[in-house]
Amino acid sequence: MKEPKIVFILGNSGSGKGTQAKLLQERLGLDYIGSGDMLRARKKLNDFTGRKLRESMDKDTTTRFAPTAIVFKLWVDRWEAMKEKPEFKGFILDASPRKIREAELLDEMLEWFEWKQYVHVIFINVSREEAFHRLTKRRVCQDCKRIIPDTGELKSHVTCDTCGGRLITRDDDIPEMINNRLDSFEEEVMPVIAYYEKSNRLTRVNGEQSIEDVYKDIIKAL
Amino acid sequence: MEPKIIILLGISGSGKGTQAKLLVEKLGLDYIGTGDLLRRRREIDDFTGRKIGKILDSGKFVPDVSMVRVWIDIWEKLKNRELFKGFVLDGAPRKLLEAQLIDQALAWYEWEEYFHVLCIDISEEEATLRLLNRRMCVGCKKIIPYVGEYKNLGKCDTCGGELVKRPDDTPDAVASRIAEYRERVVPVITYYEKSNCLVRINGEQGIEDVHADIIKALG
Repeated sequence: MKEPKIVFILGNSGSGKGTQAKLLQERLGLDYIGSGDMLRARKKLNDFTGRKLRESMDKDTTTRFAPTAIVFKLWVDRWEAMKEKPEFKGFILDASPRKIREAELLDEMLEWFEWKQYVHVIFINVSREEAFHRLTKRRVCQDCKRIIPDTGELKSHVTCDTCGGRLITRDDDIPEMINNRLDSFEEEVMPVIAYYEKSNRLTRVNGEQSIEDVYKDIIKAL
Repeated sequence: MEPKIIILLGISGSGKGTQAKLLVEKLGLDYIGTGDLLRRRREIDDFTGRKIGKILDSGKFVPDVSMVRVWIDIWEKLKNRELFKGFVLDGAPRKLLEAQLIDQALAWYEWEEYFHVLCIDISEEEATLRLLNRRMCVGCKKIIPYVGEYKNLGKCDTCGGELVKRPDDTPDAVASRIAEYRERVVPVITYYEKSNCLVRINGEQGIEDVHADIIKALG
């Protein structure tokens, strides 16, 4: 069997990591794991955790309230299913890990699933100014929550290119909250990036290029 | 009624298995062990089930973090059950990472205020003495501890079977189990001590006295 590709994509909000994750999913056939999607699926179950997620997500759409332990359980269940898939090509973990503790936990679990040696960590680097600029311009689909970046032809769209829903500015894409998010990224994720750099698993990709050029750099790294 | 959420820590030979059993019987708590859970998990035919099977058959340890997911499944079920008095987690966690995950999960299930960590203390000398002298019933496999009146037992008090030493209770194996405890569990005990939720119980007393101290500690 060909070696699976296990890709963690890290980057500031506005770095384009969601867009790149989607491309990797479409073009390489990798499975996509994003905490937001998983929690939205999990909250449909009618048990304690499902109900608690429904209540919390009504208040806080960023899903940051969800403790590592709960997200970790969702990851593991997905990996268990992937391990049984005959055509498994790998997966992309979007925007995780955010903390050293999560990175250590991921290492332990990927070792269990015998994937640890296939891990590539991609850090899409954009300057703080560029990230801020992009975030004030981007929009989100009211229905499917897809984020529409302020790039290329998407700039002129008035409805979602995936589901046709209405495009709005995200509640938390206002300058003050953007700055908070960028601050917490620097505080939380920079140590994680150093962790992967030390173990030689990190590739920095310049995110201030066109979508296709960023993609090419990622493919080179893989 | 408030549930009791109990983690029992202690070196092998401290009697934590015996105490866990007493708590389950007398307070109607659920017992969450390790060995029995792994044996059940291996019955599921997936990657993890097969891998646990192989590890158990080779006599090695299953990594701790893999246990947390099994516990989370159990806690979810307990949380949705109407009649729930609490549980005893026997002999875990054995790593800081695991202890932190457990803290988070207990907070998620809104049990943190009912959380007790009890460490049954005995000296390393006493642990060595007990482990080298404890016996097992050939018939029903029950472990007969080397404490109090059990020391003089001639036959199994449950099934009448013959009592023998366990082949893996050799001086070398006992020493390495104690060393592993010192290296891996002691940091976890320090962690709970710092967060003020640890109660130490003197384990060098009779079984009923240890139990009485535990009940006192639970309030």
